[in-house]
Amino acid sequence: MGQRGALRRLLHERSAVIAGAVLAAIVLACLLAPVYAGDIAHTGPDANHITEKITVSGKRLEVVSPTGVPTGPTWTGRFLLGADPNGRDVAVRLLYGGRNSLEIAAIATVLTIVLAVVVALLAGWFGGLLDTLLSRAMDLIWSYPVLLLGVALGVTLAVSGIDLGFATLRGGSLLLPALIIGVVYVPYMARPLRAQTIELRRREFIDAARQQGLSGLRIMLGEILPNLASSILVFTPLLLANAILLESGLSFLGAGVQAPAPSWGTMIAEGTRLMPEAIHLVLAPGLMLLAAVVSANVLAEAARDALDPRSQRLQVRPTAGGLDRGAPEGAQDGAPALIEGQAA
Amino acid sequence: MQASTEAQPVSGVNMEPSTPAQGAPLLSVRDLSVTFHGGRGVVQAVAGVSFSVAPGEALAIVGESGSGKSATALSLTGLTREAGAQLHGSIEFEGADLMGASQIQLRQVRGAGIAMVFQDPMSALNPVQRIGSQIAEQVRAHGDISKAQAGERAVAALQAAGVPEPQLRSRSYPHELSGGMRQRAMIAMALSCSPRLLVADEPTTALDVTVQAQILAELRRLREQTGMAVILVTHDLGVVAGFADRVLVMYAGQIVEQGSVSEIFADPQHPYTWGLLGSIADMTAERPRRLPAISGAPPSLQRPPSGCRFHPRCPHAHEACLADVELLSRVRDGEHLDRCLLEVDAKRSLRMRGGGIGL
Amino acid sequence: MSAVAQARSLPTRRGGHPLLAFAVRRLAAMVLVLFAISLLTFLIFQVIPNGDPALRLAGKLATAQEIKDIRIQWGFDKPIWVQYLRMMEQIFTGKVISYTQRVNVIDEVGEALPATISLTVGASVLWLMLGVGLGLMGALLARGGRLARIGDRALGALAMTGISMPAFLVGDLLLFYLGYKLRLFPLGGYVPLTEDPWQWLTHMILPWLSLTVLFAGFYSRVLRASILDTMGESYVRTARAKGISSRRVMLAHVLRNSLLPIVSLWGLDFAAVLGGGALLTETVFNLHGVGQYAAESTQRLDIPPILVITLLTAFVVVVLSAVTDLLQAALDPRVRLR
Repeated sequence: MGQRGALRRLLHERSAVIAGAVLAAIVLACLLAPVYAGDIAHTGPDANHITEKITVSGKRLEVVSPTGVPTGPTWTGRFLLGADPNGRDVAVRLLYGGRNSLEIAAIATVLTIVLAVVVALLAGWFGGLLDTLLSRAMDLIWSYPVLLLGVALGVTLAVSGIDLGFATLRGGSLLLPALIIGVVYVPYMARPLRAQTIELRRREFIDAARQQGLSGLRIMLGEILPNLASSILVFTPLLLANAILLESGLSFLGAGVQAPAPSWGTMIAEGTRLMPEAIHLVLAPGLMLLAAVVSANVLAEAARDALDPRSQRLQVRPTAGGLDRGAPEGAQDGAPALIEGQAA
Repeated sequence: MQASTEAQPVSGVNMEPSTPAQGAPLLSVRDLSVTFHGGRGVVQAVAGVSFSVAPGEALAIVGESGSGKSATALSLTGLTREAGAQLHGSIEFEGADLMGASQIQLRQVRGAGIAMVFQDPMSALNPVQRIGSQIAEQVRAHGDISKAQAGERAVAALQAAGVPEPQLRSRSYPHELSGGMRQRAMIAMALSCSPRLLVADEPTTALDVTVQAQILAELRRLREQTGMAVILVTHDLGVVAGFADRVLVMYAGQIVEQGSVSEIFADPQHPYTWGLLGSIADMTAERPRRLPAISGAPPSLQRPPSGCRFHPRCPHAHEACLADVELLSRVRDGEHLDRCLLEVDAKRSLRMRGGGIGL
Repeated sequence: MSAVAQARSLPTRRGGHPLLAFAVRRLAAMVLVLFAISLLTFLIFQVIPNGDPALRLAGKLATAQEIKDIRIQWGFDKPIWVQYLRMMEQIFTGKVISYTQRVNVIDEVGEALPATISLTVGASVLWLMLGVGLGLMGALLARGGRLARIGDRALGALAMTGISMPAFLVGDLLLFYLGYKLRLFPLGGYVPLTEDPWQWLTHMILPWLSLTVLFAGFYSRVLRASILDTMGESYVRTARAKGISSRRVMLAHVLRNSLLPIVSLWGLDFAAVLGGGALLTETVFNLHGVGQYAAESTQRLDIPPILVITLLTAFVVVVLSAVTDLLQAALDPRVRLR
């Protein structure tokens, strides 16, 4: 299956294009957070306006009422999406929080991909004891409830930080949740990739490469890795979506991004505490998060359809040749959606 | 092997009119075309096919995969309808129109009037249902009888199809049987409602060579016993010789030659048929020879070649082959029809290759 | 075909009871998994420095001597492996005490279980029914005309939204709109079934709905794909060629076979929620279940309850996956028990 053809199919899929555009817009908006904060909202993510008053369409409004209820969306430059109980601008925090959420998710995704590919190649190529060890380790991580593992790691590490040898992460570092999320999702990706590696190893062209005297490393990187590319491509948006979700879950439980740094998860957690009075504190980050995750998931689904024509069930109609033969064997084994990873 | 007379027609299900006039064909297909609208364009799998089957007759439809033979067979009872195919032409079975028939009318024909046997019995049988209950399901669909009675009929059908220990096998799942036994079970299912026409779509292709002969012998025996007509769809002319009365040779959605078995084997008119005949291994020859293959690949059915659809692969093609070629009787007045423009005498000399018929 | 070859292809029952062998294998696997998971959990909290548990036990006003006494009394001065064995002994004798609350953890989990069981049973039935219904509908629409396919795409979008929702957002929105705005349901909390069945029900509906939103979408997509795959199977064509009604083809042949992957999915999700995996949902609805206990304990860095709950989760998952495998084997004769 040509990957160029796959890209063309992907671009022909309207939902994929829309999802890509939405995701790109969200990323761009978050990157432009300082511009918005400085030129439109005239405040910063941590700037406190708790005692101030603003004028909205001629009316004077308290940013936070004496009873502690923050103002809702003004739909103007200042406090576009309202204020939080500390008198901070929700729209500004939403963009800065998005930077944190997306940064964590992106780093975690890259980390997962790198670790999973290494594990899959090593286990799949060498087999034997190494395979057994790595596979059992993957099983162990995966049999652990993902969220509980993440929370346990997050809370302990938030207290102590971690010394990685080459770098030390302080307790409040954004890299900590990224590290945790990156690690807990490794089995999710490593297991299917390992199976694929084992399957590839049995193919003739790998035999041919070995006959030519190419080293194992050369074959792994030059022959096997390119054949894993389409799987990796499908996994990337899927991992991104799940990383965003897990980050929000960890932050919601206090095991992710630490206050006062904003993230979509921490913002929803803060909003939940004040909920009946100020639903905008939940809705603003919640809908933003949902938009990002939905578009990443849609992209993943479209990528899978584009790269794996077998799963194009909607379009598949039997051709004359298809009628002569039986139905193709084997169920689809594309990347599964991850419910466990975000379960409740 | 014990023959059984227990597979009797289920009363109460009849297509109108139930007794065709004397001499009328059992099945009559006129100008059938089958078109699939797929993601990559329109594919005409069958392009204007006409034939008929007399009661008790055995007709073979022969061709490569993609020739439209299976699509023709499946379309008889509307099995291609749900796959998104468009059907044109007319199909009459026992005088009743099947092309315009409702789903309910079709359902009464399926299994009871026209039964089917498919290529790979492993995938054609439901893996999670016992053999007996799969057969009983069909029996009950065509008659108001109890589950227990239907079960007994299933066992009887298995016995009739030459399955040893039918009582035991009816409790088995498909994966617990050998390939040959599975196909016998499939045949038992097809015969369980005593159809007037059995459509066997490559019934032996997925089986071991030794089992193939057994299954064919079984089908021949059952046909003689029950007097049903059979349409045998196959890519293998070798299977046809001892089985069929008449042969249709299909290529790229069209019939290129049709005639009696002896006519097709002794005096084949179309170069494509020569090619098919040339690829039969002759077991009586002193030295096995290398089997020739027809060069080139079957044409695209989205844009079929003009004129004779075989001309791009035919070594004897000439200018005239590019224009439309009709299916005509060219040998002498009779039932032997073909689509080749060559002179009959020229054909007879051109087709000789190394002492046998070949392309 | 000779009778000998036939006999060989029949299933034979040699080598004792396959069920017994299955049970033994699964029990051995369970012991291994429980050991590995307990060790991993223990190590996470022991190897990563997170403050002295003796300090947490002693409280803020403790003197240095009191802290030292506690350290010796609770064995925090012993080597790690001794501490681990001690902890496991306490867990399996039911005498494990929380570091921060000084209460018996097993009792606490026991008190939390009814809420979690209520959540799991109700929600799993709901999400399964809705998932199967929507999946079947989607598959039927996908094979229909132009308008029907638009309906299928709408269902797909709906499912995708459900799959992409963070659990606490679903909970928050349900609580706000159905609980606070419309006052249809209470705003969280748990009332035992034995105390007041009606109150139990009204308190459980929103949490059930919440999990259903999260799971049903995924189930519907899996089932839809499975149905569309199955519809292309040769045996479905055989079924149609038999002349049975299309309704029967759909139910007895297509749906029956398409549901097989759903069964194992459902078993494992059921186990995950039952084992306290619904941390977020239980926390948002303040159900005082096992999941919420787990969430609170991690925030307090309270190792004993976390260990007990992870072991509980692993136990439930192992047992239910064995049950699921048995169910699979019963539903699909090709499946061999391993």
